[in-house]
Amino acid sequence: MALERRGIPTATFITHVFENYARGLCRMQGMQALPIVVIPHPVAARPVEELREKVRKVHAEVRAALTRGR
Amino acid sequence: MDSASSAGARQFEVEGALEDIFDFFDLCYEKGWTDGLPVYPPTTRAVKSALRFTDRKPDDVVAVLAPRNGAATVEKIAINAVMAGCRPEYLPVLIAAVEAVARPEYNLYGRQTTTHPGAHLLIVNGPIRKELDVNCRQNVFGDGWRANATMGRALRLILINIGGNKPGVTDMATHGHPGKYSYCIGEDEEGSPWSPLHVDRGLSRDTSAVTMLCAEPPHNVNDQVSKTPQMYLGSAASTMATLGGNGLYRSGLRGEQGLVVTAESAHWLAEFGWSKNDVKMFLFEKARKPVRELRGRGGWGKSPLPKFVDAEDDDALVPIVGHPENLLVLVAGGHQRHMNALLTAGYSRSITRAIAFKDGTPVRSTKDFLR
Repeated sequence: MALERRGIPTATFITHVFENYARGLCRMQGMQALPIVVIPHPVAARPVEELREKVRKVHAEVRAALTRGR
Repeated sequence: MDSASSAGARQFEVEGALEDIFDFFDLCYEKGWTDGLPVYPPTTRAVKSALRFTDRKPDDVVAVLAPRNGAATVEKIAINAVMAGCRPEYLPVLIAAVEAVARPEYNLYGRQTTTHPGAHLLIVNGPIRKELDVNCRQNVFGDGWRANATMGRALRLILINIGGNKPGVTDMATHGHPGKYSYCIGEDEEGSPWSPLHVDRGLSRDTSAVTMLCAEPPHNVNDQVSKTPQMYLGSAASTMATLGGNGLYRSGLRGEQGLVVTAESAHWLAEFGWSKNDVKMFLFEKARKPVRELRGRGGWGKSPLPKFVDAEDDDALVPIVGHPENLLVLVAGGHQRHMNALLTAGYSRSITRAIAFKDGTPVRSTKDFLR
């Protein structure tokens, strides 16, 4: 949120169990439009290939978030 | 019964039998206005009674509280104080506590929303401890004293109802801890051979103050037989430098860790010539683990270590804070040689605020507000 307020495009990764929380906090902070990319929980201490697969599936979303308005 | 009015607080009237109070509890719980326990009805009379103990106007904004960015007006603080069961004269303590947690260095946004089990420990210093009967001795972290039980609880209700704290919604604490119901102690200044916390922070002894520290639950250190300060405090150092704690992995960032000793232990240490600073220096040197035990576990690699630690050296010893000043040593508790480690997540600094008039002049007594 701090980076977006400074005009720097971001993509915020969140695992699905934190999705409502993240969107709620964005609402409270007046940042409803913050691009949030949701991946399945968990990510901590998971095999690298599993993580790659999770990220691969949201690649387009991340690209769209970071190139907004370009 | 009617609730408090003005400055954004809604008023409503209720008529009926005394038993209807149970409906009021149910309503508050359903609305998400409580910590799960019953609350006192914040009637106009009760809130006005609390508002006598401040020279601020009811709609003065004391601070803006994260994550909702809610405006903590004096009246809303008083309403939550009444709901928590506070006596009216506790209000100035809560105003100082709200000012403290809203300081940027405290990082309330992060502390309110993290998965880490942190609660906001309200530490009271100065003459007001006696006036309000704040427990500083036996069972100091436990039950039994109205001031400790309700002031800590009031701050929690303020964070819920004004700051927007909601477990599982904005507060993602994985386990939380019991101190989230109430977490409030006084320092046993009369029993201490050393200067109290608020004096260390530049206030005078006859000023009353609040220090807010976001901390995990206290972890007991039981050492009944050590015959030297080095052995005795070595037990504390071991407990504080635990592999599951945040300190060892984040000591390159801002953050504090604490130790609570009893008056009995403090005097015993002082008999050996140890000052509070000596205790801090010892813990800074001894509450450490070698890199080889830390690498690849806990919070390794997520945060910087202090510059003086070579992370490539297996034998390098990593401290729990970057500087001895970031260790808090408090005197509180009853008899015997138990100590309590107050570990924190870091990412926050404790804040001390004088209990004062609006213009910043410290009060000598809560009765100063009635003149």
